[in-house]
Formats: sequence, C-alpha cells, structure tokens
Amino acid sequence: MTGYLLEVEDLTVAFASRDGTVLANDGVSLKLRPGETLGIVGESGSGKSVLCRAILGLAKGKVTARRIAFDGRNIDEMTPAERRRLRGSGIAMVFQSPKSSIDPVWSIGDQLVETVRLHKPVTRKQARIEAAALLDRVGIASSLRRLDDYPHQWSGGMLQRAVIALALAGNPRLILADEPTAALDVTIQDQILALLMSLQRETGMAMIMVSHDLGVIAETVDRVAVMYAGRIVETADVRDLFQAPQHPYTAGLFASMVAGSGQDKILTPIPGQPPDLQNLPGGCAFAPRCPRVRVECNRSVPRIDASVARANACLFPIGEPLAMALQP
Amino acid sequence: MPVSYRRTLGHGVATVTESVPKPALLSVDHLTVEFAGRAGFGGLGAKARPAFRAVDDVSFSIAPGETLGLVGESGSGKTTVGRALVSLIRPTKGRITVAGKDVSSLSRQDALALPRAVQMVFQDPYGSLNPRFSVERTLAEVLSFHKIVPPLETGAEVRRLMEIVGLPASLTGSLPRHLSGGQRQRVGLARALAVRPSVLVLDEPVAALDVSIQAQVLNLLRELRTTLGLTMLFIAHELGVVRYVSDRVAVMYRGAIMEIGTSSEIFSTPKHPYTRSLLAAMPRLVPEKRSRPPVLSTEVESEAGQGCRFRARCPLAAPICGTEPAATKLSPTHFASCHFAA
Amino acid sequence: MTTEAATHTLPAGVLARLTLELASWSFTLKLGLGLFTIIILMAVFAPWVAPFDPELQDFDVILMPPDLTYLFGTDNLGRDIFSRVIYGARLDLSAGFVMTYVPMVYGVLIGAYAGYRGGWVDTVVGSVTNMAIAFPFLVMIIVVVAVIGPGVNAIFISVFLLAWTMYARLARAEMMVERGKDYMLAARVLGYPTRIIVLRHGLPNTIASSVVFSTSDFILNILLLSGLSFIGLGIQPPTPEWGAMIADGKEFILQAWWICTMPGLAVVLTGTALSLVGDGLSRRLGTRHGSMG
Repeated sequence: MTGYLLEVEDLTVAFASRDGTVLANDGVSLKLRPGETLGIVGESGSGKSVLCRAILGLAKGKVTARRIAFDGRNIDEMTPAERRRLRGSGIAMVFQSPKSSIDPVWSIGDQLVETVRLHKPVTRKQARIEAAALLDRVGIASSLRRLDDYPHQWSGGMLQRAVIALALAGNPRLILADEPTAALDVTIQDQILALLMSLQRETGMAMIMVSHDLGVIAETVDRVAVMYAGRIVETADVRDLFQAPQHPYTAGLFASMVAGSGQDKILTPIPGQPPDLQNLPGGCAFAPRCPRVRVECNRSVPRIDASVARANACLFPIGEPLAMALQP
Repeated sequence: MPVSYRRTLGHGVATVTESVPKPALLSVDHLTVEFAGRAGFGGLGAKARPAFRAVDDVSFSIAPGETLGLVGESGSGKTTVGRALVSLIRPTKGRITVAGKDVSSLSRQDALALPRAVQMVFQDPYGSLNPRFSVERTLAEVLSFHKIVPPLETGAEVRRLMEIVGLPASLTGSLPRHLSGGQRQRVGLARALAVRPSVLVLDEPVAALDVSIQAQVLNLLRELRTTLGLTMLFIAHELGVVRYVSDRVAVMYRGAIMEIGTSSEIFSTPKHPYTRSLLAAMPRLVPEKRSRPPVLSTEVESEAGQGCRFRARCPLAAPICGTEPAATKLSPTHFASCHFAA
Repeated sequence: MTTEAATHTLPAGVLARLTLELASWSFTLKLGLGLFTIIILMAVFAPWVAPFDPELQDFDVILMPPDLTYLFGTDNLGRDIFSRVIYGARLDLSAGFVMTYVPMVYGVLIGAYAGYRGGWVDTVVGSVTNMAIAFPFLVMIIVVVAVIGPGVNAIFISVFLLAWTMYARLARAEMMVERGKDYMLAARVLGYPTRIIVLRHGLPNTIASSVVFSTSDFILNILLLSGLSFIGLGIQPPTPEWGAMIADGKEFILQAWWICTMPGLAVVLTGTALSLVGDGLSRRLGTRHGSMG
C-alpha cells in the first residue's frame, strides 16, 4: 500500500493521424494523496483533458502506461465490471460544458436516480429522496420539485451544479474537474468554485482541477502541474509556483495574463504559435518560443514526475544562471 | 469649446448633460432592441415566445480615437448592442450616429455607407473566415468591392494590411485551416480594417483564444490604438481584458448600462453594486484555497420585475429599489444607475 | 510584433498543389474515378473501340456466344453486343449526366437561396418543393409521353420538372447551417449584397452533400432510363441503350444469356464506379470541413 490515492506512471496516449502518430500525452507521471487537490494548467494542445479521460479509461487512441493505479490497485488488472464500478464511486468527472454533459431527453431527477441506483441498492423512491438531497447539497432550492425539470429549463450554472450532484452521487474519493467553469459567467463561476471547495472540504475527497486560468488554480489547489505539448513541464506547490516559477513556459503564462483590477501592467505575451502536435521539434517542445533557448534545448529533455515536490523539465530553469546546465 | 451631450442612463428617467471635449465619432441614443413575441403555430414548428427586450434604452458615445469597453455577462445585451451597430440586428427604437451621419436608418442608395463607417471583428476564429478563401482572397475581395484602392494596387494593400496586424507575408496564400486561432483573428481584424472604418466593433475578439495568444492580440490592439488612432467598441465578458485596451468602460446588466466611467474610475472606485460584484467575483491571483462564499448567491431571474433590474440579486436592495434609479453623476465622466451610488 | 509562420504552408506551383491534392485522395476515390474514366473514354472513342457497327445486322451470326470476334456475343439480329454496349454507354452516360446535373444546378440555387433568406421565401419554396416531391413521377412521364411521344426528350422534361427537389433540400439544409456562421455575418457587415453572399460565399460551402448525392443520382437516373426503356417508354429501337438491350434480351435468356447479361454488367460496373466516387468524395469533402483545429 503506497498511501497514494492515484498513481500514474509514464502515461502515453497516442492518436493515429494522416501525418503519423500524435502523442496527446507523452510520458506523464503523477501521484495524488487522499484529500489532496492538484491543479493541471495548460492551454490547447497541452493534453490536460486527454489526461483526465485516460485516467478514467475513456480516452480514445492508444493508451500505454507503466502503471495507472487507484488506491493501490492497478486499473489494468481490474475486470471491466470493476472498472465500471470505479467510475462514479471511486473517480468521478465534471466536464466543461454542462449543456452537453447532461442528457437532454431525460429529466434531471431521472438521471440522478439512475446514477444513485447504480452505486447503491435502493428503491426508486429512496433514490428520489437521495437525489433531492444531492440537489440540496449543491445549492439548488426546492430540490424535490425540481427533480422533474428538464435540462433545457435550467441555466448553465444550475446545470453545472446538477453535473456536480451527479458526480457526488457515488461518493467518489477523487473528482476530476476539467475546466468546470470555463463556459460560465464570472459571477456564476464564483459560485461554482465556492461550491466545489466547500464540498471538497466537507467530504475530504481528492480533486484534480484542470484549468487554463491561473486565478481558478490559485484558489482551489494545493499543488500544480503545468503541461505543454502533452508533457508535464513543471510541478510545484501552488505558493512556490506563483512566487517563483522555474519553467520559462510557466513564467510566460504569468506574464501573459491580464492581472485583475489593479496596476496597469504591460503584457509580455509568449511569442509564436501553440504547439503543433504533429510536428513537434526534437528536444524541448517549448524551445521555438522560449526566450531562454540554447542549442542544448534541442536534445532530449527529461520527463518529470508530478508527485515530486518541485521539479521542472528545463535545462536552464529560471532562478539559475544560464551558464549552468543544472537540473533539480 | 465644450460640446454638450445629453446622455440618459437607467430607464429614461433622468437626463444628464455632460461636457465632452470633442464631438463624438459614434453616438448611440436611446437604443432599444426588442425581439418580437411569437405566437405558436400549433404543430407546425414555431414555438411560442414572449416579447423580449435585449437592449433597453442604452445611450453612450465614443470620441474619436477612444476605446470604450462594454462589459457584461450573458444576457446583458452587449452582443446585441454590437450587432445593432453594424446593422445585423435592427433597432426597435433609437438612433445610431457615426461621424454626424445617422446610420440606423439608411436609404438603399446609401446602403454602403454603414459598412464603410462601422466594421466588426467576430469572436469565433474558426467560423469567422470563409474556409475556402485564402487570406489574400478574403482581403482582396473587400478591397475590390469597396474600391478602396485601384485594382493594380490590391496586392500591395493586402500585404500592407497583413503587416499591420502582424501576419507574415508567407501566409498570403494560406487557407484558414492552415492558420492558428490567433492568426485567424488577425485576419479578421485585417478584413475589418481593410475598409478603413471610422469605428471598429470587436465582439469578444479574444475570448476563444489561448491565454498566451490572447496577450499577443491584446497587445496588437493596444498598439493599433495609437498607431492608427482607432476608435473602438470593445465588447467582452472579462473585466481584466477590457481594462487593458479601454479608455472608458460601460457595465451592462440585463439590457441596460449600470455604470459607465473611465477605466480607472470603474476599476478603482466602482459605485454600482453590480460592478463591485463583478470585480469581487474574479478569481484572485493569490495562491490560497478559497473559503469565502460567492459574491452573488443567486442566479439571474427569468422575469424582470419592477424597478431596478439588479434588485433581485443586489446586496444593497431596499424598498426604494422598487423604482428605477436615475443616473447619478459621480464625476463628469462617471455615472452609475443606483439609488446608493454616491 | 510579428507572429511566426504557420506550420502548414502551401507549396507555390499549381502543379505541386495538384500533385499534393491527388496524393491525398483515398484509394476508393482513385479506383472509382479510374474506372469511371475508362468507361467514359470507351464511350467517347466508341467509333474506334467498337469493332462493328452497332446497328449492323448479320443473319449469319445470330445468337452466337461470346468468342474472339464477337467479345460479348451477338443478339437475335446478328448485331455485335460488345459494340452495342459501347455505343449504349454514350447514350446512358450522356443522358445520365443531363438528368443529374441540369436539375442539380437550379435545385441547388433554389435551395440555397431559400435556406439563406428564410421567412416567407423559404415557406413558399418549401411548399413548391413538397408539391414536386408528392407528384408521382410515372404519372408525369405518361402525361408527357402522351403529349410529345415516347423517347428520351419526354424523360428529360419529366426529370427537369421533378428531380431538382432533393438538391434543393440538401442545399437548403446546409445553407441554414452555414448562414449562422460568422464569416457569412461578416460578409453582410461588409456590405456585400445577398447575391454575392449566397453565390460566392455560401454556395461553395453548401454543395458538398449535393455533389456526393449526385453520384448516386447519376446511376439512379441511368437505371431510370434503362427501366423506362425496358417498358417501352424511353429509347426506341434500334438505338442501343442498356435498358432497351436488356429488354430485348429477356426472351432469349435461356438460350443466349449474354444478350441481357452484358448490358446488365455494364450498368453494374458503372454504378460501382460512381458509388466508389461518391464514397471517396464524401470522405474527402467531409474531412475538409471537419479538420482538426
């Protein structure tokens, strides 16, 4: 027993495309303890969403990993039935777009009842009561009456609460939240984040929060892994990351963001275009856009393990003089 | 000599006269956009729909070379305002004036006056360009249709436009599917600028872009503000983004302007409870797991009630809010529609 | 501040672009087009390919099975079936082309315009379309034949009156999707007149499904022609046409199976070729729209 809730070692997800193989995830490793929250930061092409799906076994494409284990048990070694039970009761997921996460043809209540009964042997009547209780927990008033509402009658924010209720139905120990607030207005995002955090405190469940928004990450996680072009490029405690980012990409992200109300800071965007996964350069994928690039950067760059407290996949990380080719 | 403009905020209750140093380039007066109700058609398809006022008596003006940011969440009407300015949506009431000419009611002969006066940059980089047209063809078409330059100079003008928006000349023959999101938005910008419009309306131009690319495009817009002296209406839902490129900001909620002022006034001394809520709701860039409750705990109501439209969610709501608030003048440039704004 | 060049840049020369385009075609598409090209070439060069005059009767060699001289055998009048099949291709292919692509032109235009305008225009066009769909084709044929006599012209007129509807529907559906896209709105904002927006911007992006359907329509029209000729409403003898040949051969099916089988195989082969083209095209045009990023 390792004590880790989730262990991912050397995960690779490959897709076949017209011009060859594309590695949406390339050698990703991370570990999560029970009750811990991990943030995954990345833009498009970083592989952050594919990572979540791969953990759940929902990734399309070829998934290879040295190990994916939940609560010490290798997911590969589970029977299909066990894996199905794992989804929802062990690991649950909240997706980005509430409107496409909920089946529009069934009422909210029907979907909640179905999910509750999947994880517990209860009658429909009991399940309905539990469903209403779940809606209460996620802040939906008049829950019993609303069970009969259909998804099209609800706003985006309310639907996302319903999605969270569905995720909670199995009492999961880990929640994967993939950009859960990206499609929502700022004031609603505020509500959903507050809800997620209070639920996390209340249930002690672990959480992986995927977001491109460093503000969302700052307020919700203990540790952060930064992804670029399918690889993890930096991992750190959230405070350390904000105070002293080591990887040039992380630093570039901070410099690109418009700070909240406050000083009039000039943005220093990261030059160039997002990575083309079909045509990655050899060596460091960020090299074409990196302000600190050197000749050595075009050779291989190490994979890092996001369970290590502080690591970065850079030959010349920030905070160390460029002359030294050192690596923590 | 100062020119007086009558501006009305709130629901037409009070008229405020202010002095602005230059005549406005774009002036929107009492713009109202109502989507007509529709009776159902039995089983033949059309659903019944009540009449809906997306924009309710909105007035503002933009001086030449100025950028006004228009902020709001979904349902605020900001997109509708933008579309009414370019005639994609017909205003129910009100008047839009560009460079002194009324463009909201144009005769057929003058039909090209509006496209030359006001242009738009769209949100979706993936849908805003014709997938079969190369960059050159998209831009050249605009130039030749509007006869901006003589036919022989079209190629040179296309290259000039591409340079202005930071696109390398090597992309001239590229199709949209070869371009990244940020590059496509630049093409959209070049297309809008090709016509040399007096006013540019940008409808969430960076919302669909990656953070690092957003910053590139925002910097470009800031640069063009000074080099080209662009007059812009910048519509967005993110306050930080709006602040970065705007001189003044207007905050909309459910069809009306709640507060309008200079960037620093809105961000440093917001007076309307909704503006304050928006600012407070933004996630802080401070690495500390949040334990505070949400700023607003309710959702937008589906039915508008009497009086102030923010009343149902406002932390300061009081009986007086049952009457629509007049615009309170907080400074020559700062107005807020709230009984408690002072 | 400039951006870096896109990773996919187009090669300069037209020839280079053409080669790149051809290389991206699937095997299905290449096979189908290759086959179809062979059939067309044989039809075009019929006078050189066909060993005999298709209408030459030679009573010394009636009902001969296929051999080296008469590759497909001869029919009951001593005519060479191979030559008749080749010449028949001319008729079937050209008639099929006309019956498919003429209605497609105005069908697509009607549908695209109705789809773009919406409102009462769309309602009116929709009603007209529904009336045309509801009208039984065979009745129309019979009426027209009664007026102008049997033959290929009667078929053409009936087809022109009724066959455009599928294209109108397809184009309308695609246009209704396309018109909400921002580049169409941008065209409006730029002041382009409706005519240009529909024809130059919308239409090229909305004909994909119509083009794919036309390959099926082509073979269906050939079958229609053959079928009508089979029952005597279409091509009149002695003109060689596959359907008419099949009709002629049915009495001899036991003694001289080659008389109907050979033209039948020609129909099957053409249909297969077109089917492959349609399949390949649908994938090619589909990927163009749904590419990554």
